[in-house]
Amino acid sequence: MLAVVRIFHSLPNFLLQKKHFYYCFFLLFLPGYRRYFYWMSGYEGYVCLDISRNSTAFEFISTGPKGDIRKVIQFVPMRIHNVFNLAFGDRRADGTIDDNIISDNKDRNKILATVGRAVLDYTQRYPDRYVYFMGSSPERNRLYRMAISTRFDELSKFVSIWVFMENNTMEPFQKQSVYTGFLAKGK
Amino acid sequence: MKKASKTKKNLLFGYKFKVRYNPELDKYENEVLAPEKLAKANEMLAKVKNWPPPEH
Repeated sequence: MLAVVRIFHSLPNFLLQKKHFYYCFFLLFLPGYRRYFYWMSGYEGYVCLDISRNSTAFEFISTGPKGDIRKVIQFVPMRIHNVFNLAFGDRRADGTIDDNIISDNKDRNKILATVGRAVLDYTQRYPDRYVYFMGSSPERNRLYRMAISTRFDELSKFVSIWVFMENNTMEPFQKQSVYTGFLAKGK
Repeated sequence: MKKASKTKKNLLFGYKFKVRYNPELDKYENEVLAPEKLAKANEMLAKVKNWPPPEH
């Protein structure tokens, strides 16, 4: 140990200077690095969710470079009994949800985590209900699948998740496959 | 408008989060905010061959 300390102290000044620390610090602010750190800090989510009386509508505010954007989540009954569709997107001026919009507010993972929390809260309040959700495009479905896969161990403690395959069948969630929709139910 | 103090705390992904009742959202209770999405979802679900889902 002492030898290690001696070697460290014997390093010439030009090898270990205070400015090198600052260089490393500035590297964090390069776009690529920042994206990496966004990913590392992902799934933190927004802390506060507003909710309606019967828990069918949730709202939160996405904050980022594009400013504050109101996001709405709504659970709507479908034709099949006890199945509720999850609609999510930005609020339009007429009050409807725009689910195709790309806000680009640099908080994608936080939004995903927050929607996940809304689903968790809803399925805890109504454990007999199924929540159906699908992305507005195959890319978004893939993103949802990846997000679920990343935290599947933790999610599976609270909810059961099924997936819709391209051949119109359902099966329990698996990490590697192509899906057209998802179904969740509280445990 | 002052919001009601009905809150609930949960833990997911290692972080606590708070759900807060907001009376302004009650207006959405009886309306469908994304009708196209709902129609598409109903279509998708109608095609499923093995409903109800198999047990985990």
